[in-house]
Amino acid sequence: MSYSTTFSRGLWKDNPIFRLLLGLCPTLAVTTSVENGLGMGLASTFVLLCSNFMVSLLRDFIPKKVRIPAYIVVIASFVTIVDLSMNAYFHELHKSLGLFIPLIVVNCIILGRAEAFASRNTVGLSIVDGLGMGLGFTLGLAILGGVRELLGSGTLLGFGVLGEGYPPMLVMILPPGAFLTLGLLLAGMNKLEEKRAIRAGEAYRPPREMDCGSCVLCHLDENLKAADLSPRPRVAVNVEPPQK
Amino acid sequence: MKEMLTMALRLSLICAVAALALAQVDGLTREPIRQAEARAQREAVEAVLPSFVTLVNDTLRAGTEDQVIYFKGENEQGPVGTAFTAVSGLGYSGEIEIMVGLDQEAKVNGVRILRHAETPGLGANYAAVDVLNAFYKGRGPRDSWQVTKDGGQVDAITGATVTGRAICDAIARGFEQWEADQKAAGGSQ
Repeated sequence: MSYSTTFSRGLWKDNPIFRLLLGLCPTLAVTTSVENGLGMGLASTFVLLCSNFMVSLLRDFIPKKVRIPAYIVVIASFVTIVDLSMNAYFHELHKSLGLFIPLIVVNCIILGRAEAFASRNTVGLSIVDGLGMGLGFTLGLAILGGVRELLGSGTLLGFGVLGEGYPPMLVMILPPGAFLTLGLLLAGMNKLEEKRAIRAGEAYRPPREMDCGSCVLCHLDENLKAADLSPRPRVAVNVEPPQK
Repeated sequence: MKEMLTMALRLSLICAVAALALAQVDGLTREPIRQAEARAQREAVEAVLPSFVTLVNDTLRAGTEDQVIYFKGENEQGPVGTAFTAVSGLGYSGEIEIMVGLDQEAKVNGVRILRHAETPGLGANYAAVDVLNAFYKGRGPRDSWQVTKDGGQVDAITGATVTGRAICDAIARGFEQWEADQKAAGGSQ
């Protein structure tokens, strides 16, 4: 896999928000303005970059069975670093993002990339993947924040765009606005992808990661078996249906 | 058994390194965070008091639960006013913390909202400086601190009476505390 495809995948083809639908909690919650979206996105990008780097560096050192706790320790440490530094140097932004900075720890994009990518690839590729995915996430948050800020407050990045006469659509900066905007954007992106597939003469398929088949979590058991680390022999659960 | 030990050792090692790194970062950022907080507080005081040259912090009952800090502004002619923070739990969602500035006649000179979780577009509109000045500036401790809807004289934003009520409540509490402390200070002199 080349560096450029690894990088560009995160921006569109495997965009965390629009294609993988990961990290939706911060996505829906903080995107009331472009500034908040950018701040959250860049903070997550930093954490993603650092955690991908560390996980990839330590991929032969971390024992398979305790890899998830190890990843979480790494991720949580970087999140705490971001939290403290933002509080010190970007006090206002830190106040407006509030609780969502510590919650980057549980953002599934970061653990997802550690498990699915960084633990299996070289340090260089993992850094590029972290950067691509992080910027894709930032882009998604900024677009969502832009639409909501424009319609909900009539401004962009705090500057009045639609003028004084524009009555703000309050619902757009309230929680329902996040769902509406994201739903419409997703529908639009799927339509574009479908058109592209038809033009290219292919059958349209939703992104691979949206299928059940490629989600790692359901296959944890098989992973363990493949590595011959299965904790105990499997017991057959449904032997026979009860007779009536 | 050996595998268990390796696992425990390696995980502990990762945690130990993480703890060391975090201790370092904490040490590095502690002072800048304190400064940023002090700066934010100073900006809030500057926004609610008439222009002053020096600021004296007067902390009463320090370390206790009802600790209050009175920020006293002074210029060449003498004291210009006092500012203090006040909290009300009557907000539409959660507490509202404000900074109130009084001039020398104990009238409100300015109010600044420090912390709130009110609805954007409704309660959050109180954060605008001109709204706060129009509603609260020039009122003293003896004036009514009830919104018009409750029979008082203070205006509130249409559709956001609850937030207005909470801000009035915070200011009234602040006044009460301030007057009690004034009296106590006068009695001891």
